Amino acid sequence: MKNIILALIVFLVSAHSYAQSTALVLNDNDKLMYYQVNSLSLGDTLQPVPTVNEFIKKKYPDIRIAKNQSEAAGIQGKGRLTLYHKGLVFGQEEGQLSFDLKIDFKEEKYRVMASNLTFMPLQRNRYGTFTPVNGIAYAWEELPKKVKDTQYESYTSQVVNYFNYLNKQLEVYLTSNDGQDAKTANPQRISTKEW
Amino acid sequence: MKKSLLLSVVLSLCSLLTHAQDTTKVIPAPIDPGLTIFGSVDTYYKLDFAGKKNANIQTSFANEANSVSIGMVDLGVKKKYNKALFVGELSFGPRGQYQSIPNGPDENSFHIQNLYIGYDLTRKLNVTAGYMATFVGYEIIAPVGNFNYSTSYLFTNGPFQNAGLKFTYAFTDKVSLMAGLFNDNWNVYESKRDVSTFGAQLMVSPVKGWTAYFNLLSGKLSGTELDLTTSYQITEKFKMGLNGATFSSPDQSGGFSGVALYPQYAISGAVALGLRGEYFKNKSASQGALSAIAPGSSVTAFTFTANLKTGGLTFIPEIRLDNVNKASPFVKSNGQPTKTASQFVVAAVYGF
Repeated sequence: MKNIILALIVFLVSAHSYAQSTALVLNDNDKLMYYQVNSLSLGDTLQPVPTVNEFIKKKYPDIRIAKNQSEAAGIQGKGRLTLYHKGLVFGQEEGQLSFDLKIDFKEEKYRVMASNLTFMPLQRNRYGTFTPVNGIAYAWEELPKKVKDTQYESYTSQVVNYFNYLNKQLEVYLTSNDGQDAKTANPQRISTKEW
Repeated sequence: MKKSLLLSVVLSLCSLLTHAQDTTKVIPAPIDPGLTIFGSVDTYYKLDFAGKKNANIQTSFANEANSVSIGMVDLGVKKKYNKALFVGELSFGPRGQYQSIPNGPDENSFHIQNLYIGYDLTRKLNVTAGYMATFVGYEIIAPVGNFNYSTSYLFTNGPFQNAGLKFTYAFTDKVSLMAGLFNDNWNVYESKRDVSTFGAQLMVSPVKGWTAYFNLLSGKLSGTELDLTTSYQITEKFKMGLNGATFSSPDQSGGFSGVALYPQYAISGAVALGLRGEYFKNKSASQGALSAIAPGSSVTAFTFTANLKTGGLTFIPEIRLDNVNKASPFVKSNGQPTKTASQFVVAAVYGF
């Protein structure tokens, strides 16, 4: 009985920590990346890859998905994310992340990977908008030497948060029967008479 | 006892997990700053080495000699939501009012540097309308956008703003084309007759760090300017910029041409040194002077500038030497004409 309970604890803790990433991880080449494996239940009806492509295009216009993706090759694309300095009341663009996105599918699971994470500082241009400083780009591993600790922590947090959000939206989309996203998915039907 | 303890731990974890599952459904979206506020404040001291109160060198801004003077307070707001963007940028002070923008009909300044709305029609095509900083030239009005504090002759005599409607199509990240129609005169909130100045800009980025803009602005009332603005971040520390332009006044009655080079070297993240070398010629035979350069005359100007940065503050000491080839507009301290003029400027610019 004790063993069963302990096993249950271990399972619950691991299942909980499996839910989402809290940090970037180092890959085989010692490069920082976002990596998240998600399991799917046997009963989940997966959306075909072409419709997943459309979902990404619609929800994430700053991600360019490569054409002619197959289920075997997964989904590949390149994306950008604006990183902000958040003040007490207002924020301001400070940098831009560029990344390679890859989503692979396997039996009962899929994974979301963002690699080649590169930071480009932004500067204000003549039109009052912010654009990358020409020719300056740092791999994410170099960034701690280039920006303050607080900036690095803030940027990393924004990056992880962004991919967790994408990951969650993708999960909801993939596992919804009719391929709807979280916003439009049919709500679960319940009975208020029996409880 | 142990069993009860374990069971309560399990129950607690279960309740935590249930709670965690609820919250994962509402992972906060990536930070959206809402309204972005940006701007700058600048002030300077300028010494004309001839001791002249009316400074010899008459390019834009930093033009009050032997005085601690103010530039401007520049305040901008920006918001982009989905496909729509607006920018409103107001400026107050000599640099941000009569030295760079027109007054309204009642002779009061509207204080507007940028006021426009943009919309992404597709992923690649954008349309923008309003009163916008010009797309022509290397230097800009806001001091945070320039390395040197004093400005070039090419900047001073080119357009500052163009009001109009423009479309920009991005073929790739490395090539884009802008074309638009602008008010018949430069630097006006309202056209004199119509919206008839044609403007176009081809942007190419042939290699990483190198961007070039080929600009054309042509109208019956405003004249025609052809401009090349390019910069190349050759190494992380060394950058080279170039601006070349030729302008023909309406009816070919005059104009200017010139070229400026901008080598800059970053000693560290906080200290950078830069030189601006410029050649500028007033092409007119009989029309008026341009920044005090007489018709038919040319000027060669060298400006050596340092940028010392700490946070948002940039401290800019600068020495400048201008030399004209003939018909000198410059005077010595004794009032006699001379072909050379020199000045020292030290400025403080805070950008946010």
